Amino acid sequence: MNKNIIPILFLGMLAMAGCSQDFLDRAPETAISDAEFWKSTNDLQLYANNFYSTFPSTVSAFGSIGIYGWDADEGSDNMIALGYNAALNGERIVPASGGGWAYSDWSTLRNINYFLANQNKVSDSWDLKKTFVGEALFFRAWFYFNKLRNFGDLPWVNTPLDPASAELNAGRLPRNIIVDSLMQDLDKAVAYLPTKSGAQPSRINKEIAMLFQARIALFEGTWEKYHAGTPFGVASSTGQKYLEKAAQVSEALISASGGYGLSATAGADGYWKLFNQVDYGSSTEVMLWRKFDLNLNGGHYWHRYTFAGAGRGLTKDLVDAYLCTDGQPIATSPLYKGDATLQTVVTNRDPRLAQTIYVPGNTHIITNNRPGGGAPVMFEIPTFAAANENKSLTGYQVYKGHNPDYTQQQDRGTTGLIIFRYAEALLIFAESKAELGSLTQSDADRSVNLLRKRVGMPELSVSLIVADPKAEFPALSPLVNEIRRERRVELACEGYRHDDLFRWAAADEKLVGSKPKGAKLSQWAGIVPANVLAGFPVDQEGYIDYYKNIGGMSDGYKFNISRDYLAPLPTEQLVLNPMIKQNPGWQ
Amino acid sequence: MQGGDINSINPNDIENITILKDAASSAIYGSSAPYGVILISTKQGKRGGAPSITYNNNLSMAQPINLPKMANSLDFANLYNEAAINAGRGPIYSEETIERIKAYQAGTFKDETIKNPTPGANWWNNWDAGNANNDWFKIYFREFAPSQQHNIGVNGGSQNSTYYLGLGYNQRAGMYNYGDDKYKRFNLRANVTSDLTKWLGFSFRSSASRQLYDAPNLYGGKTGGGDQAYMHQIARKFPTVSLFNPDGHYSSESDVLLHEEGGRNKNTTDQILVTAELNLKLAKGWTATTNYTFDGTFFDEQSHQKTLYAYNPDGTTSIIGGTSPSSFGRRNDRSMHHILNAFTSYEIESGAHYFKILGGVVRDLNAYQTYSASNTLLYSDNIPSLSTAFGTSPSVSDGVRKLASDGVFGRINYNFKEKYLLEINGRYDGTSRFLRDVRWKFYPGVSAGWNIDREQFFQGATKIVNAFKVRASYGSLGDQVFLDANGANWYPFYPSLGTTRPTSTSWLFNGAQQAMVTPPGLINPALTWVTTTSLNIGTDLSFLSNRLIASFDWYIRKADDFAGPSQALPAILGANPPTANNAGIETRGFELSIGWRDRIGDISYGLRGVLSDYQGKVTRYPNASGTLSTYYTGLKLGEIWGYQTYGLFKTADEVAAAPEQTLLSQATWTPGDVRYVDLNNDGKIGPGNSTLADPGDRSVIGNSTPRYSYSFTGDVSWKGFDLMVFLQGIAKRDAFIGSNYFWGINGDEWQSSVFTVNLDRWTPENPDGYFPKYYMSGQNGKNTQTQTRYLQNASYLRIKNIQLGYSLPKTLLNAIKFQKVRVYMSIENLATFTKLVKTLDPELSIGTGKIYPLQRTFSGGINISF
Repeated sequence: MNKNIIPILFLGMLAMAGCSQDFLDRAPETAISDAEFWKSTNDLQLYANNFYSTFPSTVSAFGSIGIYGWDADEGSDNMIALGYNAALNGERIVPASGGGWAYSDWSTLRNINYFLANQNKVSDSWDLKKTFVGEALFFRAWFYFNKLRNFGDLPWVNTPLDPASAELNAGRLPRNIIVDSLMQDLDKAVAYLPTKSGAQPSRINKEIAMLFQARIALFEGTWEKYHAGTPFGVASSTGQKYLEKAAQVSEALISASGGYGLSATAGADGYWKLFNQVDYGSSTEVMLWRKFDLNLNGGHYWHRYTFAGAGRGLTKDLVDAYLCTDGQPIATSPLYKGDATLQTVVTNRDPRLAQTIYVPGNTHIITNNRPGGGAPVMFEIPTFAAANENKSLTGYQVYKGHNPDYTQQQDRGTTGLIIFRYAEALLIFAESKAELGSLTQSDADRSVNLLRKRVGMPELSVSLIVADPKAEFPALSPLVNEIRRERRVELACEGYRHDDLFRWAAADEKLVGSKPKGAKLSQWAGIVPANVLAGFPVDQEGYIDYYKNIGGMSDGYKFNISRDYLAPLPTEQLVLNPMIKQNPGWQ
Repeated sequence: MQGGDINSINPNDIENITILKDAASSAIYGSSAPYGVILISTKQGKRGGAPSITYNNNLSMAQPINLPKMANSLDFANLYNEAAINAGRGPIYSEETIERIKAYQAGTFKDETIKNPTPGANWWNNWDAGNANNDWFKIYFREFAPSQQHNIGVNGGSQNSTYYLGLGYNQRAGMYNYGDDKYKRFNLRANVTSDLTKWLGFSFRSSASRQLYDAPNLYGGKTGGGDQAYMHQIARKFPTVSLFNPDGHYSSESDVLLHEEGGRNKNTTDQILVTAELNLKLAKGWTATTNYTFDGTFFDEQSHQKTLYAYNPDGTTSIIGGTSPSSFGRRNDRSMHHILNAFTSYEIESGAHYFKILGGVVRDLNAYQTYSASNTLLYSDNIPSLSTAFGTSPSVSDGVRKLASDGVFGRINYNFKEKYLLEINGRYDGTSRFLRDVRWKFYPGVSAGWNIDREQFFQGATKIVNAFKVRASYGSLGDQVFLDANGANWYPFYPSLGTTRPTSTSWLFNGAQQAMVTPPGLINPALTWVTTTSLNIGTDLSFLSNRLIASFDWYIRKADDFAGPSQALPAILGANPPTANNAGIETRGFELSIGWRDRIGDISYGLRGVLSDYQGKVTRYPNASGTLSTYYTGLKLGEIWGYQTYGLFKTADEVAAAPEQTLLSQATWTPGDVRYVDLNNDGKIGPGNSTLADPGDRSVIGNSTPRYSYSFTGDVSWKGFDLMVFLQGIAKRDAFIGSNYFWGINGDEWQSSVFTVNLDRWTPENPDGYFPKYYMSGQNGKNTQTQTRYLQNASYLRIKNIQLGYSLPKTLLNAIKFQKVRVYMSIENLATFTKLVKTLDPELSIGTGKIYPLQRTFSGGINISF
């Protein structure tokens, strides 16, 4: 090789390397961008699939028994957990950050708004697309309703924001304005979504959207009515229009049920069997539910706890709410046998009681289908002695939701998670009409009386209600009291009670200064070792008072009714956007 | 030459290591080295030398040190109950269990647990109903783990060429007691240089290594997976959890079955690094070099998760949660880095003047590709493979990413009589990581030196001061790798939609999983290089016939387009704001090194000390509200905001009289709780707005930056013996540790630990306890606020290494025809002196503490050359 060629080659290489711009233009080869997406309805469906992740997933955590523990986990007068509920006891503080108001809490909304801002790019016909737009609107309402329950007034965001968006510095809109927007969104969703028969299974359909709309309307209507005149209310509104909306939508739903209705619940355990199925695919009552499959999405641990006391306990207050079989409350019914034992307390009572709590007597199954043909294990004594996660706190152990199948209890189980159930529509209809003062006998007959009839209870006669001397809400009409009782009983331990107390502004009647009680402890003297029973203090009348010796609970819940109905916003957010103001009582 | 993984280099192949810190001298090494360069030269043979062969080995035993010590089961149970009752809950351990714990400790009850007596339960009691007495750190870690290394090297050369050949083998056993984790490494290196003609030289450097790792599957579904899986799980295992159940089988809760009988993760990493280089001598003083380097890493991993079974009390078995379904996965990564370099230089010396000019280009392409596949349900756990799995929804994926960069660089050196030295350099870099209009940046640098000892006027002093040089440099370099801090981020400008395979989604649509798409994160198209500009000033001195050597460096480094944390914005944005060049930061530091070497008779000895320090601060950051949750202008990096502690409340009267603390917790404050100082005298304790203007009662109480890092090396040799001691430490460092490794109880019974240090807590009987009153609920947080009382002094001094060697004398070596024979013994990490809490290591585990423990290593070996 000629020596002189080398430097020429060398310089040539230098020049070549310096000038090819394309070498530095690189784009991802295994990720998809907006430009390549939003082409077909199928893209919309793939995106909308992600909305479903928002449905409760914490139910798969250790210690969770799904919706059947929420009355305790969220805090209510129906059920208690190992530690008292700090929020009901007024122990929340203003967080510096987080507290349900961080980027990650609002990302769900961004996700939905991003979809709504981009779906126009898909050129398919509106008829194909509208289902998924309807789903997006439903989920936006789902997101906002959760925020509304916690925080009240909210900023309204309906586009995906970027760091320069002016909306970032907007203030909160009054709650009724937010709810008006949700009603509009859901009106559209109801119009866009197919009915049950035309919808894909396990997706949101028209009827589900209607039930959800009625739920929000009832929530807002009663909230505005019962918080009127307080810092939590809405100026010059008593919620009338939302109550009317709730009545109207729920009536439309129950009039044209679209294939939904109450399931038949034959037998002494028919009602119980509504709540422990692994597959609700053919149920007419369960409108939306989450399915579990151990090999696909894992399962949950509910029945490792529900086979015993689950570290929770139903309250005497809940148990006392069930009517006697003559349709009268325990305060007036001659049939009431007292609560000396678990057997007597369910005697002559609304059959749903004995299907909601464990009762001895060879009727309540802990475990069946045991390997090797072992006999079923039946309930005899509450699990006072068990380790915490299985402990019975009040003697009233939750039986509703328990699946006795052996394989469900060994590790993970697959009992379905109920998200929407038709019975709620009947209760919304009855309650909104009762609140409006327009509940007729025929309204009652096509709502609450269907629920009563199903379990063999006497029907409610609108004109013949005898006031319960121990009514929960003495200031309200006996009719409203009875409708609320029916709701409490039918939906017991399904996670509705916390919201009900808050929307009824019922903390003063039901929480402040009150202590959750359990069963009469003396019935287990001599049956359960004394050193175990010693862990369960009792009140003067002998009822278990699980929190009796706990300093912070000595005078009952210290719920602050001028503050604790809403959660505090984190201080950092108020600093970053001075237009955002703190909730009442938290300033 | 760029690239290569420092961990894959066999230490025995290294000739020397040079560290370049200042911007000017590292400039020509380019855009991947914004904060300095470590130059590792590997061994070459000697021209015309006879072959020389070396053999070195090292046999060692390592023991884990500074492991936390768990409280015994009774202390544990009592403290758990105490904390639960304090929190307003029932006791966690029942009377019956406490009695069993006592009986077990007394030896009157033999089993570690009992069958769960609840009707319907067919499992063993455990956790808070077990009665064992286990220190899980002792159970999980070995006393000693052996390892060995062997290395052989051959080098030599002819008139026109040199060669070096190195072979290495390293085998290391893991520290865990169950389910051996095994590591092996094989290294091969070959370096050849040859003069092909008078004007053309050729050199070829290559290395290949294979690393094999075989360890128990982590069972992510059960342990959480990841680096911290083991240390996290071990610390939260109650001492009362049984290792063996009464039936003699390992308990499921001990997790020992996962390690002993579970599936294994096996991986192989092959690395190849090849450089071919041509050196041209074009004319006198004019040379050119061009080289191509291929740096490839090939990674193959198989992970197998067996379904495991535990024995029930009735003798049946049931599946251990988190181990079903069985699964198998394979992953294959290819990471290929190509570097093409070409540069030419011309030097000329004319009298007292010396000039050198150099210019070149570099082109660099990183290409990464991965495939992975997994499936569930194996026909047999004895033959784990994809072909022998029958799950109906296997998971398959791939990943490709590429990063390209181009650079042009130049350098001019000038010196006058070696007295005045000057260098000017510059480079122009472009990268595919940024968009076209913000892709290219120019980075200049200049440095100057003055060898004062060569000055005429200084000659009088050279008897004492043998060398005296002052030097300064100033220059900038670009940083693009900051984006890879949390994993490769090579396309930050690209809004990718997230895609989730059906196998990873959780909602079942009519019983089946469906794929889903999620929105892209926010991106910032203006994102570009971070430009770091450094000024270095230094001096090198030697005194007393070069026996005393000292050097000192002072530097200041600034970046005005640093990519700080994303700006804090209102949460309704609903996404993390994108990375931006949003901050100015400045670091100042120094390094001082002083050494002394002399001999007294037969004894030769040396001492060397190094002291260095740095501190960084934020000079600019967009934080108008002054929120303390992120950077702010003036922030010193590492600063710790917290409360000042007054003490623990002694009486209820003191609580009533003290400033109210309800902003921290609305629960009742009682004796044993922390009393904070009302720094702003507003009558209440709180965080204010958590802003600079209103920090409430918080202030800067410490700084976590390690300050005044020092080391000391001493060596002595006498006849054939040599002794070396290496000490290392940090003189000043604060740490506030929030994890259960410090606090023990963190409010959640499943995430707490009780170590022996935690027993010294407040109780009515022990009002002077160190730790506050514990609560097993969220209420615990009221006492664990960042505060002065629990701020840790993380300074330490560690005896890193002591080595004693003996070399055979020359006379004997000559007789046996060896050049060198040396035997040695060494101890690493012999002792540590620190005031830090005993559950953590000051060097490694500041933070959560959940880190593979530090080891003390006793080793010995032989070095031979002939």
